[in-house]
Amino acid sequence: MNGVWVWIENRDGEIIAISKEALGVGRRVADELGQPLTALVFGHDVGGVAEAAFNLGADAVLGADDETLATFRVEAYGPLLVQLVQEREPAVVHGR
Amino acid sequence: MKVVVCTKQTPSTTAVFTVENGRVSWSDPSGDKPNVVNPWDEYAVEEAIRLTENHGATEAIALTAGPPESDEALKTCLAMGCSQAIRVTDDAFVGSDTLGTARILAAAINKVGEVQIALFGKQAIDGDSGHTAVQTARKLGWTPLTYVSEIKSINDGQITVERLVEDGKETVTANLPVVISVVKEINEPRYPSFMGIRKASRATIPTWSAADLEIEGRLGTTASKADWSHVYPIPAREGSVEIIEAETVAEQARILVDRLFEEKVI
Repeated sequence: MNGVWVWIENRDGEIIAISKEALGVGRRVADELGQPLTALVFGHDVGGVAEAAFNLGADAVLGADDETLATFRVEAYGPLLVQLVQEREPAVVHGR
Repeated sequence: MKVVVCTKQTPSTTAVFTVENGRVSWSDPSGDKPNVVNPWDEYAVEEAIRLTENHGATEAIALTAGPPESDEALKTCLAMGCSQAIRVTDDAFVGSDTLGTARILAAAINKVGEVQIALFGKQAIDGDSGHTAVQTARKLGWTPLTYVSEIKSINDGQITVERLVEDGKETVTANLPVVISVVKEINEPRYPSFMGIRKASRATIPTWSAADLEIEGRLGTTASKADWSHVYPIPAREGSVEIIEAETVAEQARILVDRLFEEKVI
C-alpha cells in the first residue's frame, strides 16, 4: 500500500475545478489511511499545475511532461498511468 | 462494415423504486412497462441505424447481455430499424460488474466478426458508471471515443468524430475499429414505425451463452471488482413548516423578519 493518488485534470495550465475537489477528498482519504497524497499531473509545460497541486494539499506530485502529452489522448495517457500504477502499487487511485 | 450497438435494459424513468435489505426493486404504477431501453442508448441505436443509411454500414446489430426480459429492449431496437438483435445470457454472467460485462460484450462482438464500430450510450441510467464502453474497448484492443456528439466522416479505415468536452467540442480522428459512446446531442432518436413494431414482434432473437463465446477472464458475482454492498434509499429530509399568522400583511412581514433574525438567516 503506497499512498493515495489523485488524477489531476488540467487545462490551459490550470487544475480544473472538479480535480481540486478530488484533491480535497484525496487528502481526507490519505489522512484516514495515514498515507501520503500524490497528485498525478500529465501534460506539457505543467510545472505550474504541479505547484498548484502542492498548494492544494498534495504531499508529492508524479508528473509526466512532454510535448506528446499536450492534448489528452487515452492511447497515450492510459498505458503511462497503467505502468505507474503497476510499478508503484498505490492503495487508491482517485479520479473525478 | 458491421456496426454493433450495445444496449442495456434499464428501469423506465417513471419507475418507482423500493429498497429493502439492500435489494432494489421497481415497478411502474403509471403503466405496464417498468423496463425500457436505457434512454442514453436510444441515441446510440439511432446512430447505428444512420451509419447504415449514410455511411455504408452493412448491418446495425443490437446486442445486450441480460435475462429473457431484455428481449423487449432488443425488440424496440429492431422496431427502430436495427437489422438484427442478439442476446447473450448465461447463469455464469449473473452478478457481473462493468468489467465482467465488458468481457462478455467484447467476446460477443468478436463472435459477430468484421465489426468496425461498437456504439454505446454514454452511460446507463441505473448504474450510471459510464465504464462499460471504455472497458469493452480495452478488452477488444480498440480505440475508445467517448462523449461523441457527431460522426463527421468514415474514410480509408479512419473515422473522424466530434467529442463534447467540458469547455467545448474537439475533433478527433482514429483508426478503425473503434468503440464510441454517444451523447444526446448526436441525434434525435426516431420512434419505432408501425411496420417496424410488427416486424420486431415476430422476430426471434438468437441467444448466445458462455459456451458460444470465447470470454477472457472470470465472470459473475465472485469475479466482480465492484460490490454494491450498501444500497439504501436517500433518507427523507427532516423539516418543519411554520405558518405566520397576523391581522395584516405588514404585521406578518414584521414577524417573519424577526423570525429570520432569530434563526440567523439574515
